[in-house]
Amino acid sequence: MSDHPDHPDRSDRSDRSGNDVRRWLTERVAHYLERSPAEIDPGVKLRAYGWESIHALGLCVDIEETVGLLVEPTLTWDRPTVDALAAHLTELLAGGRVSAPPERPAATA
Amino acid sequence: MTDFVAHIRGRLSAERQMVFVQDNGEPIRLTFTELDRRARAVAVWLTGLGVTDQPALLLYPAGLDFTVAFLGCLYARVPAIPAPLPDAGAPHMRRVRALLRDAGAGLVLTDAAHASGLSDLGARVVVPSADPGAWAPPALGGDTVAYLQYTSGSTSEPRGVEVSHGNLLHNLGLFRALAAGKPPRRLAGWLPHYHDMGLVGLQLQALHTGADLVFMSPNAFVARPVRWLELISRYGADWTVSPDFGYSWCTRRVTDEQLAGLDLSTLAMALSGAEPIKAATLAGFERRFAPAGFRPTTWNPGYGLAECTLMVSCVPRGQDVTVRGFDPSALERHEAIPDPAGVPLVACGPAAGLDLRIVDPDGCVPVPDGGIGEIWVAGPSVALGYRGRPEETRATFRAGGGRWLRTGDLGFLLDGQLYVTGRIKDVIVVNGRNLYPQDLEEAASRANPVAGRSAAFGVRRSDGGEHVVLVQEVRRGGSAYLGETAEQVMDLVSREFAVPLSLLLVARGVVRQTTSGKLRRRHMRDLFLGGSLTPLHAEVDPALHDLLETVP
Repeated sequence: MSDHPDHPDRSDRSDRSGNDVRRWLTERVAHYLERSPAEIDPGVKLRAYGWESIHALGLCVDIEETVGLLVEPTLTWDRPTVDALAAHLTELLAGGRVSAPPERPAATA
Repeated sequence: MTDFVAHIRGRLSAERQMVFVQDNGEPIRLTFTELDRRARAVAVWLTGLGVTDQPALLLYPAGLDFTVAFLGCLYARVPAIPAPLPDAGAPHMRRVRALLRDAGAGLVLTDAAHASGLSDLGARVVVPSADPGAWAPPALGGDTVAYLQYTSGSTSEPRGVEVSHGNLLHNLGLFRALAAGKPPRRLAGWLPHYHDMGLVGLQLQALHTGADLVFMSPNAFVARPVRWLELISRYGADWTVSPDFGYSWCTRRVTDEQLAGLDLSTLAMALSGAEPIKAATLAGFERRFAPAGFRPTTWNPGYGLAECTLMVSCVPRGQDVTVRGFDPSALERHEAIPDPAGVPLVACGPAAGLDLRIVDPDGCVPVPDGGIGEIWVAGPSVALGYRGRPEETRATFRAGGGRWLRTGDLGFLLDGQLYVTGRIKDVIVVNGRNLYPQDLEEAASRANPVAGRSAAFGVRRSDGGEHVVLVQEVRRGGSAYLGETAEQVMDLVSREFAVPLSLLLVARGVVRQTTSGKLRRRHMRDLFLGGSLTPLHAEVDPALHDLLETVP
């Protein structure tokens, strides 16, 4: 088991496409859930796989260390699928305007 | 010596220190003499506010500011209430307000970074400029309340355990005895300070025994568990503590590369408590970390609860852990019959220094040898009671003629050691974290205000972990309506509690009304496990499928 994320396109961050981010996220999510990436449907809510706070905290640090974005663990409930997370991160990376989350982020315990 | 303040001030040393390692890896250090100086300044400031004997709520992030404020409260005879820093969002703030009301606390203390976010609560930052030399020790006795440990974050039934100076000194004395003449020199850990095991086991034990403490934030540990082991490695810690979850998280998450850099050979004691201890966790951790110098004799499995300050029983230093198999069907009948091929249970040591008995929870009479019953405890570590709740205090703390604490946990004694087998109280424990059914049910009712009653309970998965199940009444409707309702409830509850959840929507009248919520939840749990609930709609976690006789 590796705790070292693959670094998608580390050489040129600006070229990173949404697909790379999605693939990388799928791999990380699968890693925390102890499943194979093939089992993760990017359109299905993470909670359906048993996603919980301990997974979210790890993923946030991965995002910070690998993608260079500071995000809160609540993000994985505000953007609850791999697709939604990937779209959000891609938008943030592109420096574009980030649309507001669907609802006000509530807290996780 | 009858008070904790006099005890720790009698052994202050500039040689001993607390080190908080921030999430970025940078350490912040305070010597015990400097901690004492700052605590006296805080106490002078608090006394000037005229809040002696009035509880103060402490909302701090992990770090030394908490320790200074907590000690300042002790030094000023202000009962401190350590609580988690609430996240932004209404549900968390509601819980904090419920706690304030219950404790009758007026003062809220926090650090500079969080004061503005907590301004609605009137949170104040301690003013450190008071003259520590102006401090005079208040009158403190063994019965003086030192702090309030809230065992429930619930909005409906928050209960603050009143822990006295005498309780604290007695329980920390039990820790000292566990060390068998070789008191720890350096403690390391990550448990939150608002958790009894983080507060008493780490912070207060360090001060009591005169040992260094090196600690980090719980979030840093959860995100990168190797950091805890690096703390032990780098600072040569000889003592640590965690719930079972912490050890298994390390076994699952630490990579070979990370393992290569670790040295755990300095560890003499590794306590495990606060949730059921799995034999597989101990064995897995031993195997994984033997190359880093971890020794099986390092384990100290224990049992305890905040109502008994922290510890009830624990395996002392240097003794082997006993793991024995028991006949699983006998366990279900509440009998402990050894069977080497049966369910392995980890012995939690003797209750040295406290009286312990196993009692039939219905008849309140001691059960015969080999029988499983409720664990009752008596002795000087048993806390004063629940603040402002005489009835609950009587029922829980004054059983069996007045001196016995009913723990709400089930277990048995064998060869002088305590084995914990289950629980009759409602709390659900996930990753060492206590969840209260009332809170889950309240969240579910917010997700769907027109829904009826609900019942939340925990079930044991086949891997030994606990899983939350929520049974929610709804009006009958088409599958689209039911699917949408389930979605709303699952979204809100899983977001707020961030744990895996199974949901069953049932028709009105299915969640039986009883005078005791406890009975209702237990009854629903039995129906669920027996496969005799017929849900209108179900979202059951796959991890439960093999548990159920009929998968809904």
